[in-house]
Amino acid sequence: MKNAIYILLLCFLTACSNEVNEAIYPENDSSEIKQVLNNYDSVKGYSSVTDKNDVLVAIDIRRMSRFNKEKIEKKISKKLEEKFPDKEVLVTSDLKIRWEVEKIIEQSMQEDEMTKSIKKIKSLSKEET
Amino acid sequence: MEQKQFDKIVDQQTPKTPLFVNMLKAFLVGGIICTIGQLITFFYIRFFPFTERTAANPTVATMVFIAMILTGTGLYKKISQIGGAGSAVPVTGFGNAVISASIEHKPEGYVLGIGGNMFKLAGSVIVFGVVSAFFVALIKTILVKLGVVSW
Amino acid sequence: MISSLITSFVVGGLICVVGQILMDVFKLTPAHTLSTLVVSGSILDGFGLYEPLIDFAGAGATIPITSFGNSLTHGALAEAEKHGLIGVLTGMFEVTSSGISAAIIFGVIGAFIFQNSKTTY
Repeated sequence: MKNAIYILLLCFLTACSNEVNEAIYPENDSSEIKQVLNNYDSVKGYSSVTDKNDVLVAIDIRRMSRFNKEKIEKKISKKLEEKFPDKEVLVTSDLKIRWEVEKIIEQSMQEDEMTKSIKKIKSLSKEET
Repeated sequence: MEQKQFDKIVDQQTPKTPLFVNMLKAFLVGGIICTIGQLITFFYIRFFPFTERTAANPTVATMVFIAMILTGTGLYKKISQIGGAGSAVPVTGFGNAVISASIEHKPEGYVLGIGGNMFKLAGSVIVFGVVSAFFVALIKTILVKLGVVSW
Repeated sequence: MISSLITSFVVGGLICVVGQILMDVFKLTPAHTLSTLVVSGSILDGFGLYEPLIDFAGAGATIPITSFGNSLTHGALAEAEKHGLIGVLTGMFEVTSSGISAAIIFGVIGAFIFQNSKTTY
């Protein structure tokens, strides 16, 4: 019993670390995306990739703001659509998509490879339960 | 003996259900089951092409699979003795009710025994789930059509 | 990730506590308790409150039986949005099936594998 309490305490302590990680790839459009996303307190971190036709932003929303997840996603994507009128914008806080986006950034994929995986990610996000 | 006296004696004889202790146990057991479910969800998101939303389905199926193993080995009964509602409310409890009913009625044959009795305990959940879902959806659809609320 | 585990623990635990209160304070049988929870899950989805809870707590909201009522209603509403009133009938099992189908399949498999001895509910 005592051990369990210690483990729980440890969990609470480690959960409170507030690191913000921001990753934008490739970097040429970074300032605009940054400008939009830094306005939102509820967004803890984000990673984003852009190619010719798409802007893909995976955000990490603060725990207590997750009740309004959909609203936040919609708001941000509206703002981004204004900035990138000729591109398709996808803003999501889904963990899977965040991991996939981070994978693209880590491997620093080339253009066509990236387009392929962006396509895959978009079809994933369209799937409904 | 008067009714009052009788009630008093019954009151003294029946063990007081310690509500708070039961609640704590239900909280812990139910919480642990849901945490295991969250871990399984992470597993599916990480290694399979599931998003947070779609991963819920395989997670539920996996939890029912685990419930099958635990029910068959008799472990789930022990868990539910400790956890009370904590083991009944998660989907594993639903699975346990179905699986234990079908194991129990196996001797009566596959059609009449398993097929007929599988939902003996859990059937009410499906029935009332469907009925309430029907009425809620019906009311909401009509309200939307009337323009009172939006989707 | 750890914060997700904690929230699912707390939220899932709290839903189970509600079930325990229904059983102990209102003296409902387990079947009544589960039915009540399923109905309340479906009503919550009618007000659009259950999906935000899933966004918040993940498995803490999808594992308890309340999510069963939620997904039944959700499927019905999604179809009703597309096809009007008839969708309420046809869409109901669009989303949910995994819990029920898993229970049926593993119920039969379990009956094949395990013998009836100490297993009863």
